[in-house]
Amino acid sequence: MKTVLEVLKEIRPEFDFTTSEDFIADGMLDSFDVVTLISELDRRYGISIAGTDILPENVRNLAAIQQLLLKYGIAP
Amino acid sequence: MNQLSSVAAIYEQMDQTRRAGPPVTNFYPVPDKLQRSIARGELFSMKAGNVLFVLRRDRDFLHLSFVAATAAELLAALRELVASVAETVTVDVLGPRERVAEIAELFAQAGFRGHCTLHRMTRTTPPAANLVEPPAPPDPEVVFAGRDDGAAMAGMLGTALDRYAEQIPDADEMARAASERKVLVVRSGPAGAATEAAPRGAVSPIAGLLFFEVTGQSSLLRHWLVDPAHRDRRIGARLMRRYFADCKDVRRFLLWVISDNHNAIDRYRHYGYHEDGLIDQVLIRRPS
Repeated sequence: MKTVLEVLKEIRPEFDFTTSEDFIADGMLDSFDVVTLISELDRRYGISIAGTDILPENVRNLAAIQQLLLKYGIAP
Repeated sequence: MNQLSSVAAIYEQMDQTRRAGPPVTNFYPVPDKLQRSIARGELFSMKAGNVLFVLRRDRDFLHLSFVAATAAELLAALRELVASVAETVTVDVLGPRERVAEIAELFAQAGFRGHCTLHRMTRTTPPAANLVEPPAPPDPEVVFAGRDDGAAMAGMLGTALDRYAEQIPDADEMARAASERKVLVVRSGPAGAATEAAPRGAVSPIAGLLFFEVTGQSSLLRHWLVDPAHRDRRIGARLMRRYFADCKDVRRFLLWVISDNHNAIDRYRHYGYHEDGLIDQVLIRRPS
């Protein structure tokens, strides 16, 4: 199973996601990337993230994404 | 169609569809932009079965976004939509080419016609610290637009661009962008000089503009336009140079260009952009 970091790297290979605490404000993920990321997390982990959870704050950084996955029973 | 009153209401309506599995969608919500559209009374929704449509009014037509659980449900809902909305509707189907073709076919079956295709182009740069080129001397004629330029700039864009495909900002948006220093301009003559269109002491008309947005390490080039009457002054190149010079910390530059605008595509390639594989097929349905 790929890590969240590897998923992010596939979506936006030009950025180093380990250096940012806010992927949105730092311009590393845009709105299209956020939806792509959510779909990719759904697919890889076999979950269905609710529309109300597709919020910038839930994918703002690695900790937030891990927290989001935990909510769906996934411990990445 | 119901007028939307809050961003939360949109997310709640998306939920039911998403519970059915990974969605078929072109809806990539940005809460701030949604909130602005709601405040202006421009945003509407319609549910058809499990499918959510979000429609945004733009001048005399509607931009359509959709969230559907399956392609089959989307087609059925689209037929319901076109039967009940008696206005011109456009839709942007976004994604890799093969996926876009599949979804666009559903819209064609529901009575939409292809309007044009846009390509996304990307330019990536190394971190500023790795650059060895010395900075270019500043060009005194390239300046930030003022808030008062909003209407003139919107007029220029409205005349030159395709309103169904190019997300043309209105005068308010251009005024706001100018006040946030997102629009570079070159004027047709030096400030204070008399020109045919502007008396002595007035700010002279805009000969070219470049409208951009920066978010952290990314920048979107919204519009880059030179008045045909001034195309021999290298205004476009000067605007672009200043744009890149002002965005030293940006790593990822993005733009969308209509696929048959070969002249523009060649120029963007010259500046280091390349097509990154994402396309936007614009389809339109006019009332019968």
